[in-house]
Parts: sequence; C-alpha cells; structure tokens
Amino acid sequence: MSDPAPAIRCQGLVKDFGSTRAVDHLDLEVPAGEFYGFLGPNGAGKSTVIRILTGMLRPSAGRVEVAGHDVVVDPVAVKATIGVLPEEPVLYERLTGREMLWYAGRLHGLPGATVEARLGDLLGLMGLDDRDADRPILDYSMGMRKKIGLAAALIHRPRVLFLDEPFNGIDAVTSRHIYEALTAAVGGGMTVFFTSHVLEVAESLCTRVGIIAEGRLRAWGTLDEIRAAAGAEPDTKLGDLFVDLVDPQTRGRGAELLGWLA
Amino acid sequence: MTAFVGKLRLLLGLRVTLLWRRAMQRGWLVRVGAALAAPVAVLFGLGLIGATATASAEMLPTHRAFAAMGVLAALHALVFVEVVSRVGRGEGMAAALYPYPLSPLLIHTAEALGGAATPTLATGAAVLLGLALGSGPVAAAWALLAVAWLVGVRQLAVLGIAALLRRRWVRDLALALLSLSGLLFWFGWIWLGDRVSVSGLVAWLDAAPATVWYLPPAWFVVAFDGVPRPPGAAVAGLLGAPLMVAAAWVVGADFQDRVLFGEAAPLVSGRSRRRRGPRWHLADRLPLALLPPAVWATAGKELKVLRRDPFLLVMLASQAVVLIVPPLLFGLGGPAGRFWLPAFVLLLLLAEQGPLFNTIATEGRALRFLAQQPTPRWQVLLGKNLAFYSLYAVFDAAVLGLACWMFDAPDRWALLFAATGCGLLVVGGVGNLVSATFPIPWMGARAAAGGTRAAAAAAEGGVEQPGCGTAIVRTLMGQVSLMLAAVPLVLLLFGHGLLGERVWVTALPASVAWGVGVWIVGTALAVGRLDRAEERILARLATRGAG
Repeated sequence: MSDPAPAIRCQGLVKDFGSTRAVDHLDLEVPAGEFYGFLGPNGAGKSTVIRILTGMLRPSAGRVEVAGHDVVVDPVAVKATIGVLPEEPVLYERLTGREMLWYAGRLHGLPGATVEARLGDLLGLMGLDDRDADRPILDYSMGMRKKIGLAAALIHRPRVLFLDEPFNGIDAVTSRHIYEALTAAVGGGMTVFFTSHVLEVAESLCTRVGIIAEGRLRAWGTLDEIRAAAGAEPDTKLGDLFVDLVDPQTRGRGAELLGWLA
Repeated sequence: MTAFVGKLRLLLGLRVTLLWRRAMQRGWLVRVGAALAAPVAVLFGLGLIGATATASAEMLPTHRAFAAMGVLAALHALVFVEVVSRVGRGEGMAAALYPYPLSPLLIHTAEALGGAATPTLATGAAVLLGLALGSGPVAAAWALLAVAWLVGVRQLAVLGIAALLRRRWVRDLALALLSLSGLLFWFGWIWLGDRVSVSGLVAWLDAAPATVWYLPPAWFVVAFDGVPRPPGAAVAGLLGAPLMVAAAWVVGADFQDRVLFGEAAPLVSGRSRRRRGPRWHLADRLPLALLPPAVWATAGKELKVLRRDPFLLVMLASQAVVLIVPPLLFGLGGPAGRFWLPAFVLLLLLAEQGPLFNTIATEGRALRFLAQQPTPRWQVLLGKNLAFYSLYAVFDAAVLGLACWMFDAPDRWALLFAATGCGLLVVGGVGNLVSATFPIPWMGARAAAGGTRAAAAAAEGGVEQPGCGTAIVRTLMGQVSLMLAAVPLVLLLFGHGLLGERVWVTALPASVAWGVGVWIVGTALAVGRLDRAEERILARLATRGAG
C-alpha cells in the first residue's frame, strides 16, 4: 500500500448522506500503471467513492488525491487528467456519436485536428462504422452508448481512467478489443480503476483489487495477497473469496430463502 | 480569460446545436418556425427597443425612471413564474458538463446565458434597454447591468426552486398556488382596470418620497438623466448595482456546485413513512371482493399515479377557479347564480373529459406492460375509471358545495351531485371508447411532471402521431358525450320540478341506469378496439431500437 507517486490516494475518506454513512474512513492507495478492480456488493459505496474520486461529489471528511491533485482543492485539474465512464453514460441524445466525441475532445481543450485523428481510431476500436457514428445517440442501444461513453472518456488520453461497470451491454468481440486496448494503455502507464459485478472479468484483468462492503475496505492487494490474508487455498476463485469476505452468513442459502418456489 | 471565452462559446454553440436538433426532429411546421425564429426575434427585439426608446424620449425623466423600475419589478415576477412553471423539465446541461475540466463559474455562466434566452426575459430586456436609451447611451449601458442581474437571479431561482421543490408535496402546492395566483391576477387585473386611472397613478408616483431613490430597484436607473434623486442615492446606486450583479453570479456558481454535488438538501424536510404492522387487504374483503382483484389493483395503481402527478392538483384547482370566479366577478353571485348551476355541472363534466378521454393507450410502454398481462381488458378499464370516479367524486362534491353556497342554492347540491355522478359514468364510457379508438399522446401534464424521461418514453412508444382528423373526431365525441351526459341532468332537474322528493326513487334510478348503460356499451366497444390497438403498438415497438 505504499508507492511514492500513487495515481489515487484516499486518507480517512468519509461520506455521509444525512444520517447514512456511505463511506466510512476509507484508506486507499492505487499505484500508477495498475488495473485496479474496485469490487463490492450493491450499496457498498463503490459508486460513491468513484464519484468522489472524479470530483462529482464532495467528501464529508478525509483527503483525496488523484494524479497528484487534491480533488476538493483543484477539481478542474483532476478532471483534466482523468477519464470517466459512469454506469449510465451521460450523453447528449440529439448529437451523433461522432459529434459527441468531438465535443468531448474540445471540452478537454484538444485542438480540432487532434480530435479528428483520435476520433477515427476510437470509433474503429469500438466497432462503430460511419453509419453508426453519424446516427443520433437517441437511436443507440445500451451497448453503443457505453462504447461512445468509453470513447469520450479516452479521447484526451487520461492518466487515470474510471470505469463503472464498463462491459455491461458490450458484445464479446468489442469487449475483447477494449481489454486489449486498456491493457496496452496500462502498460504505457495509465491507471484503470474499475468496478464490476462480473468477478470473472475482474479476476482475469486486474493486477490488484479492493473489496468494499458497507463503506469499508474489507480486503485489498493482489489476488494472491487477498487469498493469503483470508487463509484461502491458492486456487480459490475470486467469487468465493468475495462472498466469504462480504456476506459469509448467506452463502448457499438461496434455495432456503425461496423455499416456496420449489 | 481567452480560454474562458473560448469554452463559453463552445458550450453556447453546443446548446444551440441541441436546440436546433430538437427542432429539426419535429414536424415541418416546427422546422420552418425554428428556422425563422432567430431572424424574426432579432428584428422584433430591435423594433421593440426602437419603439420604446422613441416613447421614452417623450417622457418626463422621473416617469421614465419609474417606468424602468416598474418593468424591472414586473420582470422579476414574470421570470419567477416562468422558472416555477418549468420546474422538472430537465436540469439543463450542467450535470452533463461536470465530468469535464470546466470551472463551476464557466458552467454556471453558460447555463445562465443559455437558459435566459426566453421570450419573457428577451422582451423585458428590450423594453428596459429602450427605456434607458431614451435617457442616453450611458443609461443604456447601465441598464445592461439590470439585464445581467436578471439573468443571474433567474439562474439562481432555477437552482433554488429546483432544490426547494424537490419535495413533491411542496412542488404540488407551489404549482397549484402559482396557477391560482395567475388566474386570480388575471381576474383582478380586469377588475382593477375599471377602478384605477393612469392619471391617478402618475399623480401618486409624482408624490413619492425621496427615499424611493435609495431602494435597490432605483440603483439600476441611477444613470438616467434628470431624476431629482438625493446625492447619497446616486452613490448607493453606483456601488449597489454592480455588487448585486456580482453577488448573483458568484452565489449562483457556488449554489450550482452544491446542487450538483447533492448538497442542496431539500429545504423542506419530509418524514419517511414506515408501514407498521400487517397490511389490511381491503380489496380481499366483501363487498369489494365481488369485483376481480385486477380491478382494484388497477384502480390503486391509477390513484397512486394521479396522486404523484403535480399537475393534477393544478388542473383541479384551476378548474374550480375558472368555473367559480368569473360568474361571481361579472355579477352572477347571489340568487341569480341558481340559473348558472346546471351549466356549471356541464362545464365541470367538460373540464373532466381530458383525463377520461385518455384512460388508456397513451403511453407505449404502459401498453406493452399491459399486453404481457392476462387480465381481461374490461377490468383494466373499470379499474382506471373507478380511480377517476373516486377522485372526481371528492372534487365535485367540494366544488359543487362551494358553488351552491356562493350562488345561494344549498338545497340543489345533492341533486347536482347526483347528476354529475351519472354524467361521469357516461363520459367515462365514451372516454374508454375514444381513448382506445382515437388515441393521442397526452404529452401535457404527465410528460411535464416526469420531465424529459417521461417525454422521451412517450415519444419512444406511445401512439402513432395522429392527424388533425383524430383531434376533430375527438372533439365531436366530446360533444356527443356531453349531450349524453346532459340526459341525467335534465331528468333529475325536471323530475325534481315535477315530482319533488320522489325524484330520488324515480328519476335517479333511471339516470343511474342510463349512465351504467352508456358505460357498458362504450367499454364493450373499447375492449374490441383495444385488442387491435395493442397489436398495432406492439408491432411498432418491436421494430424500434438500434441493433
């Protein structure tokens, strides 16, 4: 948990919504160049943490730094160095996919020629041909929205990329292309911080994971470190580890809870 | 500064593009209108400035200043009304811009400038500038501060009211009060027109004390020439006006931050209701259990939807005011109003036709859900009608009670209430047939209440765009339903005149039978039509979506 120049650093992060504590004294450090999986059950606080890290929500207490900038003190600098793909991308429905990417690039201050050049590459990576790219987003399927949202998050070459359930609704071929592109980008120094409920994806992609439940970090590190800390076998699947860490009481009780269905 | 202006230009360009796209996706009339709107608006604005400046040059300096202050005050009220009436119709672009590296002040400025291009503000600004031009270019430049203040304060109101009105009941109440105050203002204006003369008003303004010039509205006319203001008032204006403008914009940017971060907690807190103990399943008990559970489930769902529709309260309250106030205002109060009451019943039924003529087939998604259910359609229609009937029964009882009391006819209440109830049965039956046969997207109230999501949902599924023939047929059917609904009214009124109290055992059962008969016929025809409408809409929905 120590790195001289972490991409993300949270110290004593707290977020309260009224009387509800969504994030409870979270300490987190993600080294640069990692593919970091941030995992947790529904309502654990994952999206809240991501929103704080991306400057979309102010913490109630604690200190948060992303790419060396304090999120509260200098949110604009943070936003200039990160890319964000929320679970439901916020897009301008009446623009075409191409126009959306153009605006995203320009809003990040990129020169027009640079935007044009990257736009074609990104559309190609996402498997969107000219016909798709020139249709209004209003007509896009969920998967296409995700693709455009992801392309908009990548267009300015962010140093840290936040992805909230990025592969939901994206077909297997495009997912493969995106894995490869992201893996290459991580190799080049980009940090990817992503959440997913598909633990197999996290297991295959992530170099490190953090597991959060009820606003607290329950486990963190490489998969081997987490297995060792939990006293599990070396071949234990992440899914089993996750359930044991998050809610061991209900494991295997699905059939019992819905007995009337049988 | 250059970067700020460059990005501001980009954001305003984006807003114009989105507005243009929205217009271009509409019918040809809207497209042509949108293409002509900008040049026409510019010409109209320039003409308005010129005409006001010419008139202003003829005015006495004091009157000119008072006129500008009056316009400014009226603009505050109009802007407030406009902002409240638009609550819930989307929250602008700010939320979508926050992930980008843009400062809150930049986003706020773009939001304020983009949102301020409303007819109200643009027209008011043109009049204000024209009035100031009559006093010279310096006064006109200073009047721009007033426009900047209005733009800033409008955006502040947008953010503040949205936060304040997040509580549903407060929003309902505010909209209802606003609607009522608008109507009452209009009626009051007509009433005042006969009693206040312009010369009297001018004399009253001429006698105004010198302290008036120290008040904030006077700060924005401090550059108007020839006004006999004390020296201290001029200093207050020169300092106060720029400070007010700066405060509105800085506070606005900070407030926008709070709203976007979810920190602008509802100013009126609500209590969370928790159900205690087991629910008492009323619909499973006699006599309600005589009807299938689907009827009560549909009625319950419809009542919940109606209860959550802020425009319903507005609609009902407005109808009450529109029906009750004009006759009183124009001398129909007292015993003379007894003759107004039968017409009042028909107007009440006419006003209640809208929702009853849109009981079903107005929302594509709703119909798609319905198509997956095995419930007989008559049960659905009955459930929906029962929800409206129960709501209208309470409303009609109250409004008729009020009307009978105001028009000195409390003895008529029961009779008129019975006639309204039977009439509602008729309108409901005809409404079922009309809504299944000639559906139109009812975009007004509920779409606005649900904001863009509801509008998009309605646009996504919904009914096919009807031609003007549909509207004509619906209007004709409205007249037919009114004529059919007049039968119980005539029966009961004449019956009461001829039979006295025996009307309750003779004309009333006949009226109820008439109402139920029309309902059964209308609904039976509607069920057949609905099956075909479902197939058509499902086929349309199945072809939508992008692969």
